Amino acid sequence: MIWSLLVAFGVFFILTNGLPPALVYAERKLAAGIQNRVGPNRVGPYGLLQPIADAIKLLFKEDVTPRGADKFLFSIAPILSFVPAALAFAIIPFGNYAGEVRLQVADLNVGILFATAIISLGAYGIAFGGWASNSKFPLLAAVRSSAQLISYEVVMALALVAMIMTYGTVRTEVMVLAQAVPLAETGPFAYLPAWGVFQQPIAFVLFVICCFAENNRAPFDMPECEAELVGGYHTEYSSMKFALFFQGEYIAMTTMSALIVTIFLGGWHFPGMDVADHSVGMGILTILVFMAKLLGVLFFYIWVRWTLPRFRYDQVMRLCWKGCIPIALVNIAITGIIGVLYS
Amino acid sequence: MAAADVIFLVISIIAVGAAALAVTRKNPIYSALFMMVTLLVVAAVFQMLSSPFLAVMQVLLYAGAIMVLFTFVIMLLSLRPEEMGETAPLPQRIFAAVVALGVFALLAFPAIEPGVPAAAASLAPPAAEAVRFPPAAGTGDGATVEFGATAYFGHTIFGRFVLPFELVSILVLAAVVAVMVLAKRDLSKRDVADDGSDRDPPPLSVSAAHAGSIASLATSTQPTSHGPGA
Amino acid sequence: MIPLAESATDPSLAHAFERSLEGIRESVALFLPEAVLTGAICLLIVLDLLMPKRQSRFLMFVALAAVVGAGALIFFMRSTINQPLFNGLIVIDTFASFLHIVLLLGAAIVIALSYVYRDFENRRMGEYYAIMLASLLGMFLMASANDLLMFVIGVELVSIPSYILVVYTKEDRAATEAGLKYVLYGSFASGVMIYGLSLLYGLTGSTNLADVSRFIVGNLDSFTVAVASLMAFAGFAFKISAVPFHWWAPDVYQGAPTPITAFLAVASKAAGFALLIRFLDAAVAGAGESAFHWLNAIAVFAALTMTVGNLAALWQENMKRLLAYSSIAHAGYMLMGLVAIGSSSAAMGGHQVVAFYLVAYLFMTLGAFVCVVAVYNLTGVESMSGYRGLGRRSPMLAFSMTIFLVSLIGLPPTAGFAGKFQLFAAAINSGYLWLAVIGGINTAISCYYYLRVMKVMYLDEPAVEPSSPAFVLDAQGLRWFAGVLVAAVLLVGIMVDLVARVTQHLIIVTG
Repeated sequence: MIWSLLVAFGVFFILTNGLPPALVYAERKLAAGIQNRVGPNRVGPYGLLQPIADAIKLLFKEDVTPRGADKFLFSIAPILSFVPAALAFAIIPFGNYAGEVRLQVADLNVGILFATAIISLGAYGIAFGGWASNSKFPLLAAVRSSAQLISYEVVMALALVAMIMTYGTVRTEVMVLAQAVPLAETGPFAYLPAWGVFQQPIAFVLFVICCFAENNRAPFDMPECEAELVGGYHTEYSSMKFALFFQGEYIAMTTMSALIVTIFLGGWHFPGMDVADHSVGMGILTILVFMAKLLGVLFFYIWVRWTLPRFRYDQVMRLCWKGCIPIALVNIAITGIIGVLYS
Repeated sequence: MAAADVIFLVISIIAVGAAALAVTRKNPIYSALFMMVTLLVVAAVFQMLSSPFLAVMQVLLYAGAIMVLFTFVIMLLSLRPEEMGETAPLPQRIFAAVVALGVFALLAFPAIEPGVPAAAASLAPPAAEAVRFPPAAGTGDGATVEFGATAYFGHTIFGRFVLPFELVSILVLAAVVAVMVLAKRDLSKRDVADDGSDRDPPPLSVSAAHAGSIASLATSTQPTSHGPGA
Repeated sequence: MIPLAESATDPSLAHAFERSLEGIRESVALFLPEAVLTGAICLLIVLDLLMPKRQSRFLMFVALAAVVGAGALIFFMRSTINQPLFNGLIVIDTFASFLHIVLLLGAAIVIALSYVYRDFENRRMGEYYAIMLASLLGMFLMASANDLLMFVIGVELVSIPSYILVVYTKEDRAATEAGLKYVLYGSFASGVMIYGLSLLYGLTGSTNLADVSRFIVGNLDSFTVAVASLMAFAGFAFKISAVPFHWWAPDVYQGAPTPITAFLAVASKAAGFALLIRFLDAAVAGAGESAFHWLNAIAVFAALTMTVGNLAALWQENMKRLLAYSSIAHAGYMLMGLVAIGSSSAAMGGHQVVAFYLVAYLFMTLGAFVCVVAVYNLTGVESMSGYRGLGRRSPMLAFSMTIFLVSLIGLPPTAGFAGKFQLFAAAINSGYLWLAVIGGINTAISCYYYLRVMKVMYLDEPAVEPSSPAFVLDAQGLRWFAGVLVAAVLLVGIMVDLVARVTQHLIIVTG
């Protein structure tokens, strides 16, 4: 029991706190590759120690609080943006069993709904951060982001509804198990696993779009589009507070990717694995499978960011309310009809 | 005291304290913040009452959506301290306090009135059982579904209470149409508005002009417009 | 391929689910009138999207068709049915069906009135009718609610669309102010009501009206029950604008577009009374003599309501405001009839006499509002000055208005007299002579301000010239419209016996 907790929290800690620096490095390197540059290469071999150097630099920078800023809100805003993203990770099953140890922090009754609820709180960090800075561009960014987050949460929830109907459960653990079977009994589809992406391609696309929007990642990086808003909601932030915002963003990205993997890409399972095998070796293997899928999605995230141009704000909103939401609703209706026909 | 009692005590103190702070703060954004704290803690109460689904919905809808919209509006208004309204005169405040205490006493009394809970128990058991809402969990043919679980809610809402559910959806539909009626700008009226007669207020709809209108709002904000003035 | 539900395999839950689905399947057929209204709401929204703005006023015919269709369905399907539907959430009994017909009549008249109302010209009207039908659907539920949950949903489904209807002419400052006041008061009142209902649920462990009724009857002296019921009553009293929950009415009635004022004054009030009667019937009717202090409370509210309404009406210069106070006073008269709710006599039971009065009230109040709209369309004023010399300018309109006012006073041979006679008789029969005396005094007071309108119409010199010739044609139609309502008022007044025979058969079913 105590081991179970320790292992779970250990992996959880590494994923939420160790991954972001690595991601920063990967992002810079990949960006450089895409733009035909070299990228960081001075600190350490291949610039591998660059994130650590950056972290040290941020820690020792002067912590500036602008005059007229609301001190309390200015201080808690980075925390408010950091904590929900990390919390939501708790329901992700990042492996099956390693012996007795269950590789999931919390298998909640409400499962995936918990993640959506917690993620929805992330908007406060940005909103308060922008408002408390007492500066017009951060405020503008905060307002934009609140609107964007709320709008895309709706699509995300609707896409999830279709998935919940498909799996018949809200528990992430059961969702993974439901994907660990072939897509069909016979025929050509028998060679495909019953992953969410094959069962619900439309929900998958919608969900991925929402993940990008919820993370304020390109092409939806409205709150921080440099050309219009200087630096976005964290223009006035510096030092550790800025670092927290920065890290919160990458953790949110990791959490979203983990959700995509769990709901649509079969979670820790890979075709051929035996879900009843609870040995330690198999447990480690499932973690590796999960990590591989997670890194794949994260690569996609970075790839998109450095490839696509940014949307205009009204385009973002139009895409959500006039594009995604109707499609998501139709998708739910189709899922329901198919469900009734096949049951 | 059992552990659950201690937890309940702590969260109720937080809930009541945050609620009190929400109504006493002068700065509306702090009111919104403490309101959010109250809502989150109420979610914890739901969780303690073994209704995790309700708890999550509380966080998702109230704390995560409605309060964000509140903050959104407060930020857009960005009231200066002198615009936040004057404090009511003392006699009025005393009167309000007396009324509030009276209402509180009125509401608190039912909790302590002797005899009534016993009367509730005296309901004829079969009739009370048949109509109890929600039906007691775990009764019947070896039920395993937890009370308050998501599946339980699903079956109750789409089973026994499907009519209220559908009616609420009509209510929401009517409300959505109504909001559109209120918020949409009448384009054909624009020529009339140019002579300065009656101009529609800028709507919160999404258009190319939207970013511009928010920008003008934001730029009209005075540099020291908010915060406690420190 | 797709498992519908993880728990579908759970026997007990699935079983309970199936059982409740059975109850729902049986009920759906009888729910057809409401389904027609719902379908019309969706149809109107879609049609409004497709139609050019100038033609959107013709969507009135869609709304009217839905109302007539629902009425016909109720008449042929439900007029003799007395049974609970949807596992006891709502109940279809003769009382509900009668009120449904009354509500549909009111809605039909209001819809037609909206078609000719001057301020609705050049406005998108499809959404207006859709929102109005949604409100009407809520009133339907209020009239047939048999469960505290349906009480709440019914009230909200009426209220939220009404808030919007009040501000439908949103560039009009008075309407906006009225709407804001209505929202603030209304949401507070529903909040108080929901708190009271939730106390009742907490006490009984059930939302079903039959269980709540059984509990209340067993604990009539409990302070908690009294507090809970009083809070619930506050919500109902707000809907029927009874004193002291009437503050919103004059401002809202004055600021709202006149057809909506009529809608609130008649349909909303009728639905509020239906809900109040259902609640009181459940709480008091079974208790007999021991419920006397509840009836006393109702009597006090009735006396207060009619007195305040009539006294405040004396000084009103704006016609809509005057009618608002008049409608408060009439709520008082109807509350007076409610003291007979425990009466065993079928002819003089509380809900029978109130149901009768609602019919009379419907015709005379809507008639008065038709005249208000006609005068407004012609002159653009709603104050008393617009009525100067109406007797010479438009004799038929003035005559119609006179009949409606006479009926509102309660003089024979109008519907108002017949209805008021029954209310007074019911109060006296139940031993509330003092209340009847107060009612009599109030009727005398009300003569003053109703007669003053007649004096202005016939004796004063015309002051305002018709401002908009474009509306003369519509005014012609409105005259006929008013004429039809005059006929209705007189018919109900003369053929009292026929209507009374219908209302005597209204039975309330709880369970």
